[in-house]
Amino acid sequence: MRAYVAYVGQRFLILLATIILAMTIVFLLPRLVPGDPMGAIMAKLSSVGAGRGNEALIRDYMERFGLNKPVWQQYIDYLVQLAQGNLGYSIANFPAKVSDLIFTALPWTVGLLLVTTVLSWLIGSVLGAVVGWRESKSVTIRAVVVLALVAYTTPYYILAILLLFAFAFLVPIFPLAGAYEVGTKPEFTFAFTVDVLRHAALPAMSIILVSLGWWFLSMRSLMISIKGEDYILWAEAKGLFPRRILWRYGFRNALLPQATGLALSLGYLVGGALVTEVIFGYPGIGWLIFSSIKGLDYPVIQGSVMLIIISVALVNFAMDLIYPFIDPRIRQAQTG
Amino acid sequence: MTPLLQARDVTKIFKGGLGDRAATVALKNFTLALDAEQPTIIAVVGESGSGKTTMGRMLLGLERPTTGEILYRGKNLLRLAREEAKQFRIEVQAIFQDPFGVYNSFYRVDHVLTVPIEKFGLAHNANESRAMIERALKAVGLKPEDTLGRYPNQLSGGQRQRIMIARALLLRPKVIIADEPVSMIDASLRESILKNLLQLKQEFGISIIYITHDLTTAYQISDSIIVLYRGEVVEQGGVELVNDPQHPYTKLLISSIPVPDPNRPWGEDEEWSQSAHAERTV
Amino acid sequence: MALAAKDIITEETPSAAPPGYSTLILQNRKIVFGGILFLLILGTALAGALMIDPKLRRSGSITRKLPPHAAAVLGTTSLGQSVAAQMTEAVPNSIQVGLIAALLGTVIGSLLGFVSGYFGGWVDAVLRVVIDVFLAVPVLLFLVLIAALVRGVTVQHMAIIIGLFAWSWPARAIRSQTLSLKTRPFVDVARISGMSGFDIITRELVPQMLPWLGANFVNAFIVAILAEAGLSILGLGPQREMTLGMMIYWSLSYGSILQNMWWWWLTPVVTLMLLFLALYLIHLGFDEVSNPRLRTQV
Repeated sequence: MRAYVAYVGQRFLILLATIILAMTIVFLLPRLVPGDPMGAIMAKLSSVGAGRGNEALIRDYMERFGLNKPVWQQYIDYLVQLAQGNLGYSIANFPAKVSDLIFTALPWTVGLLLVTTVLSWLIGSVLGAVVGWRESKSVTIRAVVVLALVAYTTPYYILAILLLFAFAFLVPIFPLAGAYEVGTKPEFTFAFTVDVLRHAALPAMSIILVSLGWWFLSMRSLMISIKGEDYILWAEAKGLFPRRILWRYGFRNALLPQATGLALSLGYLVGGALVTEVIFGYPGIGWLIFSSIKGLDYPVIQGSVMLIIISVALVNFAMDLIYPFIDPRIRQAQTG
Repeated sequence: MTPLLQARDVTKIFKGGLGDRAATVALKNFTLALDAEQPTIIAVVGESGSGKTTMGRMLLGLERPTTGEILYRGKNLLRLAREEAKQFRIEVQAIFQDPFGVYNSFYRVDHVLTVPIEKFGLAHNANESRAMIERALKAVGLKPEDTLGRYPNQLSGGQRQRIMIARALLLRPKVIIADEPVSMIDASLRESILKNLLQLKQEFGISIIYITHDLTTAYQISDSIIVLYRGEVVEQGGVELVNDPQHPYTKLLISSIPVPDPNRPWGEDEEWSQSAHAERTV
Repeated sequence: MALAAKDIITEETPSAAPPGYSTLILQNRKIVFGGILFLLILGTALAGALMIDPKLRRSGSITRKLPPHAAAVLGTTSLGQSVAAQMTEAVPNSIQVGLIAALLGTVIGSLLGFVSGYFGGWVDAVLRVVIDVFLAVPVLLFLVLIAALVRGVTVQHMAIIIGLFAWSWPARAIRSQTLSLKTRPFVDVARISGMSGFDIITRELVPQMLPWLGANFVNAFIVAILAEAGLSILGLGPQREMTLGMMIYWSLSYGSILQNMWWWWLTPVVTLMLLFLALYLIHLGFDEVSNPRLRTQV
């Protein structure tokens, strides 16, 4: 138990460090990058909507970035603002608040990521286990392995472009862009659900295919190495059913490293999903960032980036908490 | 007279990871003084896990004691000035167990010989360095033309270990700590390697701390013996103690030496090993 | 009693000199094939740059929206540029981004990994947290932040920005490799031969890890090209220069898929894929050289 507490403490430290790092980098970057981007943001601000909101906007910014105060004072003010959940206003869509824009986009990204990650991880792991266990060198299996290798080495966005071309243009089964038909309103009806699924199919497929390849390959090599372990030979010698050995002895022991991989790949996965959203015009955070880049809407970029980094760190932390229950070795061994 | 090398009440504890309570006491209150004026061979005998290797590594300054101190000419190893540290490295040398792992496979075997010459500034030019190396190789019975310029995997274990002896000899140390120098050598070559060690003492006046699990070879070449058992010294004295062991573990060690007598039945000393086993599992 | 268990009879048959790294690399089919493919891509682009008039890169220099034909072997864009002419600029630029970023990332990563792994102690404790943090963070987002701030990025800016964030994987890999290497007896021998920690890292550990460093370098190369294209597609690439990522960005912006101008988007996409294939093969090859046990696997 003491070891577990120490372990959790260490992981918590990393979580804390990540959050502080993210906030600090977001704070420091505009001040470090040459060419006075702060000035550019202010200039952009004063040029937006010469009307009512303008004054308030600039005042809000002067307060948030307090350019006349010393840097450490600015930093503390900024942290206080963040703690209150205040991310400021969007420039391009004034008077929309950054947090509102993010929370409109967030469900799409989270939904897409959640479904694709779980699906690809499950399918890839099970397929990899079966293929790795068989150890056969048949043409089919070799072809599957090569295919997985190709899928895994293909960047998300390239697969996305190819899928878009194939299934939205050549054979137009799926829509070209968006998350639902223009003109419909999000509601819980059957027709709308089908529409959402149809729109999500291609982005999801491009993410699933790429990560599937990775999970498949890593599970397969894990299984191949596990097959040589003494406890498997022992299980075989005891005369257990091969199916039982595969799932109870092999698969279970490969699950932990496979789960650890999931946490490590999350950052990469999120990055890939963001670009995929852009290609499919899918209205998640990636698309929000993309349109904010076009509109020089720095507050929105800032807020989205910070939010994603912190969420990824939180998810990683949650997974770290769970590992020891999947595998007690972590509790015993040193945390390095 | 301050001893050249001294271990004073040294304890080494290996800790597990963060918050891990399972710590291992590798060595407990170990004390040893080596006065190198009179060359001598001290054997440190013990089974694996007895702490003998840890002891050797601490004497070499490769590992820090948890408590207690290692002194070189009366000064704590951790507080040596730059020049003293260099002198210590030259005077206290080592031969290791694994005659393959001690070589960096990227380099030819010459590497282990040229590096100390370069680092300690022992030669003024390449010729002098070459001559030193050849002298040292010849001293341990190797032909320079057969050894230099080769990769470690092109030489036999015996040759590789002799190069390591030559390497130590190059520096003209006062003490060599030899950690199981023959245990990974082909049995037929052990004798000649042991002779090399003996020769280091007799011809070159180098003292040796001979770390081994093998009481027979210890008896053959050493002047005194220290028996380590689970990190503690259980017996210590002149090499004659083998004839009259006091501690049960020493007795067990002696009785487990195989005697090449076909008439003597196996398992005669079973009783001993059983009682020792019982003691160990307590 | 396990007293005699350590006695291992070493084999006494001297064998041939071990093959050097250069031999191992030249004998590795994956490295050779990947290398040839890579040089082919780069070579074609460089040769093309000599043969195709650079003016055709400018918009309006040629009839718009033409499929591949004699005057423009890879067709023309909606803005009236020759795709082939663009490629002669884009390929070397993308490779340049990869090279600079990978170099930066590997050097920084090696530095951190070696120091953290070899010296241990509190330095390692701090560095480990830093490395873990950067591993867990979607680095692309930091790049988005910076690239969004730096107005008018150039290819070199991109390379440096990406390189500054490309060190976490090399650092982690090199740290763990250093941890295992530093317990090897030859490191002890180096220590008692008067080598300092710095000596040991540069003269004992680095040579042992050359193929490993190579694999990490190539991996960082792949990641950097990936990041360049990703950033460009997000609209953060060098607007005034051409890279493979920017070609995809422009072609998508002008709806080349919908207008069936396949030559425009397909050219950079296929080139990127070939580039990845080449680099990935080299990476696998280096992995095999540094870890001989892998050689028997598929």
